[in-house]
Amino acid sequence: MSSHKESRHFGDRIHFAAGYVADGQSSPAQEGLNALLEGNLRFAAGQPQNPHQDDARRKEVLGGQTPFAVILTCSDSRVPPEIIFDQGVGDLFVVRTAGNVVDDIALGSIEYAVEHLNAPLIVVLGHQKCGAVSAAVQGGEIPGHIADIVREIEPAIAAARDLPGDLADNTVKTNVAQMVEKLKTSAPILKEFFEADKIQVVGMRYELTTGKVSQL
Amino acid sequence: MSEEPSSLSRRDFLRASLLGLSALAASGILQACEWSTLESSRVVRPEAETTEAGAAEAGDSPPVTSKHTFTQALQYLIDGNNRFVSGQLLRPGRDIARRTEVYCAQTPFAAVLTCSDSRVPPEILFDLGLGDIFIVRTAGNIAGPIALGSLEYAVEHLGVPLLVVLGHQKCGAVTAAASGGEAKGHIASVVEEIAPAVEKARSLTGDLVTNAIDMNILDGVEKLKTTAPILSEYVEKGWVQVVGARYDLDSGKVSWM
Repeated sequence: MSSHKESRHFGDRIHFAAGYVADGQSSPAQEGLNALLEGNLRFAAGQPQNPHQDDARRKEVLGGQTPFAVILTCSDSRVPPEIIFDQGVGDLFVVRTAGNVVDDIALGSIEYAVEHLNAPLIVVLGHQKCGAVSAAVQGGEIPGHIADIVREIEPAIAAARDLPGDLADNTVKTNVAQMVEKLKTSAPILKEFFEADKIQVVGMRYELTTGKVSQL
Repeated sequence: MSEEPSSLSRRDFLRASLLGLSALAASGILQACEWSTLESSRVVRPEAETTEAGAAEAGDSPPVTSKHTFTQALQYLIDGNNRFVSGQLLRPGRDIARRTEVYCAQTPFAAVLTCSDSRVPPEILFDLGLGDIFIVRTAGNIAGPIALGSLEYAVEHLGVPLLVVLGHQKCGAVTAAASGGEAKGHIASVVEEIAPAVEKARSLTGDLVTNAIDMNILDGVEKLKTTAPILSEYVEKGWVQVVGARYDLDSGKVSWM
C-alpha cells in the first residue's frame, strides 16, 4: 500500500479515481484525508512536525503546485488550515471566506483546483464559535456585503431550527453540510468530476477548544 | 448628531452585541474563557484586545478598534516575512496555550486577501500563528461579494487597522487570464475580474503576466478602498489602510507596493 507521501512525491495520484479501489488500497482522496487527520492529531497534541516550510520545499514547488486537497474554510484568524492540519507550502489549495460560504469567484477557485491541478479531495471545514454564523443566527439589520454572507447561511439556520441543542452550533454543522451538497452539485465542473468519482467532498468541523477536527 | 441614520443603527447594533457579550461574561456564562494568565508562545506581538469606543468619541473612532496601529500591524508582517526568508522561523502562537487564549474571541491585527495557491499560505510566509491574521483567499486574490463581506466583517466587527492585498509571482489565475482562451464554468468569473488588469499590463514594457499580477494587485487595492458602504467609509475616515504586496516564490520575499 503506497503511502500518501509517496503518491504525492511521484505525482501519480492524478491518474486514479477518487473512490476506494477494488484491491483494498486507498485512493488519493482517502490518502489525502488520512494525511489531514493525522496532521490534525499532531497539531491538537501540540506535537506538530511543521513539514514543507523551508527553502528546499519552496524551490521544489517553484515549477508548479500539486496540492493534495482543497480546503474551503472560514476567514477566522483562529482557523488557519495549514497550521491545524500541520501541512506546509504547496500542500493545500485554500479558499477562505467568512462562514466558509461561496460565491461565483470562490466556486471558480475550487473548480480551478479540480480541473487544472487535479486535486482529488475537497474539504469544507466549519468551526465552533463561527462569528459569521452567529451573526446570521442573531439576525437584525446586516449592512453591506455581510448581508450576502448571511443570505448564504440562512438556509442552514432553517435546517438547524428543529435540531436539539444550540442553534448556532447546529447551524455551523448544517452550513457545512449545505456547502458540501452545493459543491457536489455545482455544474458544470464540480458536478461532473464528482459524478465521475474523480473527487470526494467531505465536511468537517474544527473545535477551537480541543484543536481537533471531526468529520461530519 | 452627524451620523447618518444607517451608520448609527449599525453602530448601535454592534455596541449592543458587544454589551451583550460583556453581560454574558459578567454572568459567568463565559467564565471558562478567563484564561488570560496562561503563557503562550506568542512572542512577536504585544497583548491585544478589542475595545468598545466611548460614546463621546463615537464620531472619531470606529465602534470596534484594535489595540494595534496600522504601523505596528505592517511591521509584524514585515518582521515575520523576514524570518521566513532567512529560515529563522519562530512559528509563534501555534501551541495549545495560544489556542486556549484565543478561544473566546479573535483579535487579528490585519486582514489579508490573497490567492488560493497552495504555495502562498499567509500564516507560514508571515511566520504567524492562531488568531493573528484574518484571511480571505480566492484564485487570483479576487474579491467577489462574499470576499468583500468577509473583509467588511474584519474591519467592522474586529477593527483591523490594515487590509493587505497579496498577489504572487507565477499566479495561475492571472496566467490563465493573460493567455486568453475560453475558461470553463465559474473559472470564467475569476478570469473576467482579472481581465482589466491584463489590459492595463499590455501597454507596459516587460513580461505581460508579471505586469498583470501587479496591475491586479493595484486593482484589488482600489476596489477595497472604494467599495461602499463599509470599506470606503472606513478608508475615508482613516480607520483602516489598504496596502498592496507581491509574494515572490523564488525568494520567499514579500514586496510592498
